[in-house]
Amino acid sequence: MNDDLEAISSGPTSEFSATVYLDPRIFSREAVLKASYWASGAAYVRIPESHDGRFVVEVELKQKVPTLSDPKPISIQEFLKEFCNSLMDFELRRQIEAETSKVRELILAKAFSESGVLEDEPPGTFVDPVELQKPTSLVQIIAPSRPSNQ
Amino acid sequence: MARVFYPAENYVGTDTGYQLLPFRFIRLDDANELLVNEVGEYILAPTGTVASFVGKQLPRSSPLYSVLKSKHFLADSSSSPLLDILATKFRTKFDFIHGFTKLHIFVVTLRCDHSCHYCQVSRQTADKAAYDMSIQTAEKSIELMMMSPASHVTMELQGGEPLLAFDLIQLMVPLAKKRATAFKKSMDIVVTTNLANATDDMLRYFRDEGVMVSTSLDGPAFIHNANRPRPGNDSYELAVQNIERARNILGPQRVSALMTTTQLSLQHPTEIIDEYVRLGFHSVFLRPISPYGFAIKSAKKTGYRLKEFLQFYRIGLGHILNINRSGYSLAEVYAKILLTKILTPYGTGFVDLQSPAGAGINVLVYNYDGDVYATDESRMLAEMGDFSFRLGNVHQHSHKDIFTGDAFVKLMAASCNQALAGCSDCAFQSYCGSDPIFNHATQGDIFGHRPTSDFCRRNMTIIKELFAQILKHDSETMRIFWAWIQNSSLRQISEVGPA
Repeated sequence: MNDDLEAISSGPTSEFSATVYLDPRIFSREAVLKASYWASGAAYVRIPESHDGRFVVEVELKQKVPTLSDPKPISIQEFLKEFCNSLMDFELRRQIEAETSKVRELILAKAFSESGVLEDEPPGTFVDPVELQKPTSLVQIIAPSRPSNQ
Repeated sequence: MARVFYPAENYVGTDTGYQLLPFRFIRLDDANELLVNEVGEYILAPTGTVASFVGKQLPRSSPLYSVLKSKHFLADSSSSPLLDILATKFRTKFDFIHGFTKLHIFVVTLRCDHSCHYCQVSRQTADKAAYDMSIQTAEKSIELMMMSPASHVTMELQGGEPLLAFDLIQLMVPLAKKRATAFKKSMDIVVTTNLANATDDMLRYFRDEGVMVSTSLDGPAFIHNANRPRPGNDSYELAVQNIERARNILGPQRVSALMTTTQLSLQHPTEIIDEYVRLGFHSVFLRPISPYGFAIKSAKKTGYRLKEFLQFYRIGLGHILNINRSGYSLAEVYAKILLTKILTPYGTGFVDLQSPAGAGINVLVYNYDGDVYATDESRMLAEMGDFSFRLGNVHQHSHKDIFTGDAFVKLMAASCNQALAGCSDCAFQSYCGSDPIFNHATQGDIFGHRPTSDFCRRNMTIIKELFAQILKHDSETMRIFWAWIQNSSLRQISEVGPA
């Protein structure tokens, strides 16, 4: 898998750790961070500064030996396969988000605008308590007159 | 000469472009992906579908294209005005927010005759003055309940064991009804009791006042009595006798039971479920123990790992489905709540599984001493010395104070799964919820860490299990699911088409 031309190149650095290199032309920062977040359940994750423009993700498995409660801990090879799948999924999700976020905002705005919750007048009286203390002030903010049926 | 139509592709427009509409997805297994749109409608599709769909490689002539279009996953030049439809569906899904707090829990006393290992708060004492709600506190609490904008509220009287404070209940019920009439609210009243001290007079009072009874039944005698010790070790026998008596006086529909799963229960899912069937119940709630209060202190007796609970749940769900297939209607309540969200346009208002979280927004707890908590679990944390979710006190704070106070505002920051790391992209977002209080109790942080969260893993696993059932395309299973959703018996549900 250590091929610089690949979008993802990775290799175990030990039995329990690995370094993953990612082509930024294929993977966004957002996808790398989100996949790394989910990876942080099973592994310690570091994203150090990169010197060649690629994203670098260093992972180290948290559980290294079998325990009674988890007799078959994930191997680094299995972990990397899952991580690569997760990266691709999060990149797709980013594309969906980029294309649909405006529509989503419109749907939500329309849903709430027709629910009535935005149409009530805010409670209370709109006055300026500071200015009220100065009756001789040239400018005062006073409560607007309300319709008689309210 | 017969006339025939050209093949369907001849009628497809020349414009092949389409626009994605908001959706989320997850790989269910090696062969299947699940796509869920903004309003909870789903499509099960073969692995690789999302990549070709997002890459705009899906031909208009494919059957999947029509499904994606009709379920609002894509729009093209011939789409009908979709914003109105999606906005309406969105409002329907979130209708549970309308009216704000609907469930109001009153802790009328902390006294109890049981000493359950998992109970957080009960006190074995005869000192009424120390642990009963005062009349003044009850009045103030009812007044606060009436400040809720909800046109319909549920008043839940619990403890401790509330029947030990029956005289107080007799004062609170008419007062609450009088105030509800004045505020033009309708109201349900529920008493949550172990029934051990229930007399016929009490049960007749509940019948006459329209009060419903919710009791505890942890399974057959060897589980129930082990979980719920009391002097005489006869909790099970009393529960069974009194459930029958309560049904006779109140009517079977007004008596329900809840179980709590302990370490002992985990070994016996089928025996617990069979006990519910034996006693004639038509629903059982396989719910995990709350990670609060004495449940943590007595973890050796009651504690268990999530993995064991999920195994218990899986076996239990399978057993319940088989019972239904044999002709007896029995719903699993957690699955029913999730299936309602998955298969219908509606939300459920179940406070432990919604976004914004139910804490405060859908439930409020008035403790015996006048303190107001966001949830019953918040009150349990307070019993352990953690007052993070104490929202105020009925004697000191107004409704506005409580809902604009620091504790509530802080809670709200972590209440929407739409804005939580790990949840914001999750395909199950519209079926799941957020639980900042659970996060706080288990991970020390109201926002929580999804990759290691038991809340996340539990719900992910159970929702995947339900989709695995749906994927089987078994019409009998789908009939059972619809019977649960519609509170109907199987006989009332006609043939159900493929999901």
